[in-house]
Amino acid sequence: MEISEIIQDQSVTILPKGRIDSVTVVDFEDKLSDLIVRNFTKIIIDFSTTDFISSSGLRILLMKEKQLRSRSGNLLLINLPEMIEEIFEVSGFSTVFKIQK
Amino acid sequence: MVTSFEWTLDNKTKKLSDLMDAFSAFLLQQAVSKRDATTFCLVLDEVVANIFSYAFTDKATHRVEIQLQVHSDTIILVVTDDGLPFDPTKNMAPDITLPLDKRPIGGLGIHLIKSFTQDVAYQYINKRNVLTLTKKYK
Repeated sequence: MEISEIIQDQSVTILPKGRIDSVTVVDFEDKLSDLIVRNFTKIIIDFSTTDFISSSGLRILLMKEKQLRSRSGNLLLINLPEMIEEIFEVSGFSTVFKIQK
Repeated sequence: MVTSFEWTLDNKTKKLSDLMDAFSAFLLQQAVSKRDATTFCLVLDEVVANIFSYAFTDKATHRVEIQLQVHSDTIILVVTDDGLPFDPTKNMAPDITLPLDKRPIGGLGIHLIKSFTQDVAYQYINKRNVLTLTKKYK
């Protein structure tokens, strides 16, 4: 999947495009792993161009959030379309992650 | 009028992305809203990913059949596979109130399937898992 990256000062924003499903989740995971290896601790994920995120993608978010917290960092999720907001709500993830509306 | 869509996947080549593109395009053609089409793609992904992960334990090639029917106000998805018998309707809902470090990894996919459809029915017929999902749409 296409994931663009914008670096500003110490933080990085990524924009996953299309579906984060059981196939494309590999690219999503690789991207986040790569940013963590490059020592980013504040990673912003902009979902404005994302159709949906499946449970496989939610699992990766959970894993990466744990990794980042152990380095005093975190994920910040922004611009969630209604569909994705609903996925976070029904899975109870709205309370786990830092989400900016 | 009922329109239908059929697709067969196998556990070797998978090709799930092609299916999702075709599936989504078909739903949009039937005047299903973008939101409902996207929701159904999510449900399809969860169902198929679950089958590919757990159903086939031998080295043989297995087929997963997808049949979709669009009725005037409901979408019916039937997914059939010849893998290990598994009834997702019996699956316990995960505890979604737990804090980050206690969150279980499994069970979330089935929880999403149930949350985004109105009915999930399971049958085991002629050594095949038949999962029927029904969703109302706009």
